Amino acid sequence: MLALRAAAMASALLLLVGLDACVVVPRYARGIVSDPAMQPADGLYARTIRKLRGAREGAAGGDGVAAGGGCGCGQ
Amino acid sequence: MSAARGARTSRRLWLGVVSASALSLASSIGLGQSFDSTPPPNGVLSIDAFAEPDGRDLPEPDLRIDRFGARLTVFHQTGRGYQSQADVDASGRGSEFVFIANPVIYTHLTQRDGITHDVYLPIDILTSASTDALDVVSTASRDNESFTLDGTTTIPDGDDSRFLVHWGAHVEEELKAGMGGLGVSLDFADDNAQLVLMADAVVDIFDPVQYNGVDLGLTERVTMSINGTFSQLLSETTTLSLGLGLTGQIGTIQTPWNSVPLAGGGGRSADLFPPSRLRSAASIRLAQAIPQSRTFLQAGYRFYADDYGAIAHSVEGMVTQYLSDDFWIRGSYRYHTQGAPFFFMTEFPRTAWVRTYRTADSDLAALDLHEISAGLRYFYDRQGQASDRSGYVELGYSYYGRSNSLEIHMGTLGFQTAFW
Repeated sequence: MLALRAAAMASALLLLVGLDACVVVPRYARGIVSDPAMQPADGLYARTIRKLRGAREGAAGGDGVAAGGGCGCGQ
Repeated sequence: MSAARGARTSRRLWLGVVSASALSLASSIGLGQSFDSTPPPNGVLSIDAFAEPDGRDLPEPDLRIDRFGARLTVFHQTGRGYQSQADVDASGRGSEFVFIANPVIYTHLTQRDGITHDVYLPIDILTSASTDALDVVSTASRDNESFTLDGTTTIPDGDDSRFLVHWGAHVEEELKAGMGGLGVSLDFADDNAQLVLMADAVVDIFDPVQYNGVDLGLTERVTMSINGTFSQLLSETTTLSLGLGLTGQIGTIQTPWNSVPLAGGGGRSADLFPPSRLRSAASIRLAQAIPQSRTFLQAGYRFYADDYGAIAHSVEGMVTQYLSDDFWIRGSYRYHTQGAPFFFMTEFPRTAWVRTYRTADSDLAALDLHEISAGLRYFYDRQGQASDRSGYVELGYSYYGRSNSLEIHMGTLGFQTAFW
């Protein structure tokens, strides 16, 4: 049931994206979107924050990386 | 392009010893190609060892360090929870104080055949690591260190796809962990969209030291994750990312030294979780650039649910503002709310069956939290349009406050430099 709910949500989101998928930005026009300011954090800080949230909130996963590993507590 | 590379020639780092290790890695995954593992003349890391005096471009090295970064983050945590036995107050909650220093180093390596490696080496140094646990019985874990080696090898497979190999290990007091995973990254629509799929496994082997110091011998926990991330360019200034993940766990899932106070006082009972757990999460993130004012906005939402009955929602926003070509300031806010698992309790009835699932861990309680961050970044080596190859120094501070009294103050200092 949980997996079905998640799959349904993903399908809905992908459909939403599909509506805009016909937009093609040429390579020469991608300078702005490659700026690091478009990212939430660099890799070093992102993994530190992810570890903190996974440990203190007991709700890891779903962000493109593996969950678990190491105590972290609250696993 | 050639001029830029020429200018950087004298700054290249050559790492012969690592080349030999990379050869072993590439061979072990069955994708090794002709590889010259001969170390440089002095046999160790050297700078400018191969620089040509006339400034000509050098031939491609077997393995080069493209980027290197390091970051130190310190955490100061205070709070009180029923699972803690340290300095218990009149309400029955013990101290959750802990101070953590977390240095991390990172490097991005590229082999001549195009295979790349992203390697992280985080170290956690904790004081009062187990204020809610072992130190009540013994001071053996008053100070604790942990080490992790976490890498991802990317193997190109044509212009629009690549295979990903995740590998690593984690070592700390009472716990050893190994991790591995396989994945694929696919580009679509002239690289306007990207899909990344990963399957990972983590095996934790640890001593389940109980709240009263009793060591029950080795036990294990196995975690399997399947994650997907889809990113799409919506315009020249807008990107959208979607994430979906499923995580299954079996084994000893509870933190073994946590415990629940017995009803009426005078004793405690060790945490006991169901032997398996299935978690899922979905996330969406939108990033928008405003070139006229050099402002970048991000917004995200994340939904989480598991078979323990816990549901969580998180929303966050971020603003990054360039003050000059080389300097930005950034602020962010995140709100998170979560429900508790069905077996959360702050006291364990004395008449309950001994195998009744239970936890008083404040991390699993129903709570709200606010996370506020601010940071500065100075690009000292921007080289034109800023990119993930730009060198920088960054300073940041974050406040993390939960409705059940836990507070964390974080300070961070990091830098990155590019050699190639």
